[in-house]
Amino acid sequence: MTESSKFSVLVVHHDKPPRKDVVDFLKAHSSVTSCENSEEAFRRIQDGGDDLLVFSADSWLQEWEKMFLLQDDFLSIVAHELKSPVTALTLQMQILDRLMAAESQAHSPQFRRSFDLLSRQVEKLQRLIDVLLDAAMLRKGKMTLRLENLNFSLWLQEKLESFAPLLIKANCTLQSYIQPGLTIQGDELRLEQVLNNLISNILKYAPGAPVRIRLQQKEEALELTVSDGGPGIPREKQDCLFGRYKRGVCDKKVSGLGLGLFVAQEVVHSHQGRIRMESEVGQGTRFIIEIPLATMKQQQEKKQGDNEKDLNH
Amino acid sequence: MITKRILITEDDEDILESMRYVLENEGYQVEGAANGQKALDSLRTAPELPSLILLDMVMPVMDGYQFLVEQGKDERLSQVPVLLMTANDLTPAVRQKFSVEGFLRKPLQLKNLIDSVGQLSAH
Repeated sequence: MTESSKFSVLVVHHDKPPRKDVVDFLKAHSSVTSCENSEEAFRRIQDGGDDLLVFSADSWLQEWEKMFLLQDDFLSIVAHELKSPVTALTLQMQILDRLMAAESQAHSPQFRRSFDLLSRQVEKLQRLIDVLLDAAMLRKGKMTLRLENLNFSLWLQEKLESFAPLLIKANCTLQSYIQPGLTIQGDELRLEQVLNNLISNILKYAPGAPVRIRLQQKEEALELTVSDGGPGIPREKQDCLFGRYKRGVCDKKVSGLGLGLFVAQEVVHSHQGRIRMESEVGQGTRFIIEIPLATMKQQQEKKQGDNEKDLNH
Repeated sequence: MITKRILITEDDEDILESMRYVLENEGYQVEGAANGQKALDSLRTAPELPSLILLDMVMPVMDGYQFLVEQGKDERLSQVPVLLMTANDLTPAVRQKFSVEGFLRKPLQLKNLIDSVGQLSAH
């Protein structure tokens, strides 16, 4: 094995370095970096440049967990702080929008363009904050779902129609097959996030290539497959893709926080479902989501509940 | 027609001003309080209670949760319906503990704000 193809190992230790024979063994097969400083080690782990991490003491692991939690608290505080100015901004934008609509006099095209630009950027800010908040909350296991009987087939059809203009803009042709009548117990807003995240990944990483979406029943679950004809994701990047702040493509030109798939995975899991990915370089990427279908009992209970509600009104 | 009075408890002046503008335009009489304590003070001295309280949750001095606790202790004040404004979803625990009428998600959408205030202040 040549030097350059060696495994990169980060050894993190506290007061006592690992046993010499362990280090010697590691050194024979890999390039080893030793690290005593927890903050430096934390940074390196975040960078994700090492293939293997070796902790020499359990206490470090606790330290780590604490650091991740601190980071989540920090994220959540930052996001909350950012919400106030964005709330004031959005309110004023909406007020302006109404005023402009109410005034009979036509505004100059530049005025309108500037206003639209402001609106778009405020919305973007809003979305970024939402993603940050989500990520911090999800890690603490704080996601609450509002489950309802959801005709996923109809819902998906509607969503795809709303995505059509964006896909056209990115020169992606859409081929879809939707098996009708598949109902689940689902949180519509959360599921929309999943679909949003998958499609915005396609718009970002695989513009100009065909997109295929297939929804079908598979045993007691629905199976949704979203495939793109993009560049694909190298095998070594695939494992950590559902982690936080991870991207399959190391491209500084591509924006985003690297949280989309993490959020998608958390949402699917909390629906008792599974999400996995298949990809090969040059062959595109395919995400497969499985979510259990609502049982007959669940569907009927819900309907009965609805009837009772109607009677009460 | 009697003008409905709304109390907005919100520490961010710009948000308060924006909401005041919107609701005054809809014909409400709006009062503002910069935190829970000020809201309590103004409610306790007011000869007449407002039809609705809009309550921000994160505020200095006295936050929204504490306000709800204090409001619950006061028989007179606890008659006034409260609409929360929060960046997060309400946890079931908060829903159960306090009898709030509902919540608006921040950033606020004008239509939601006007509709919800219209519904809740009608009682």
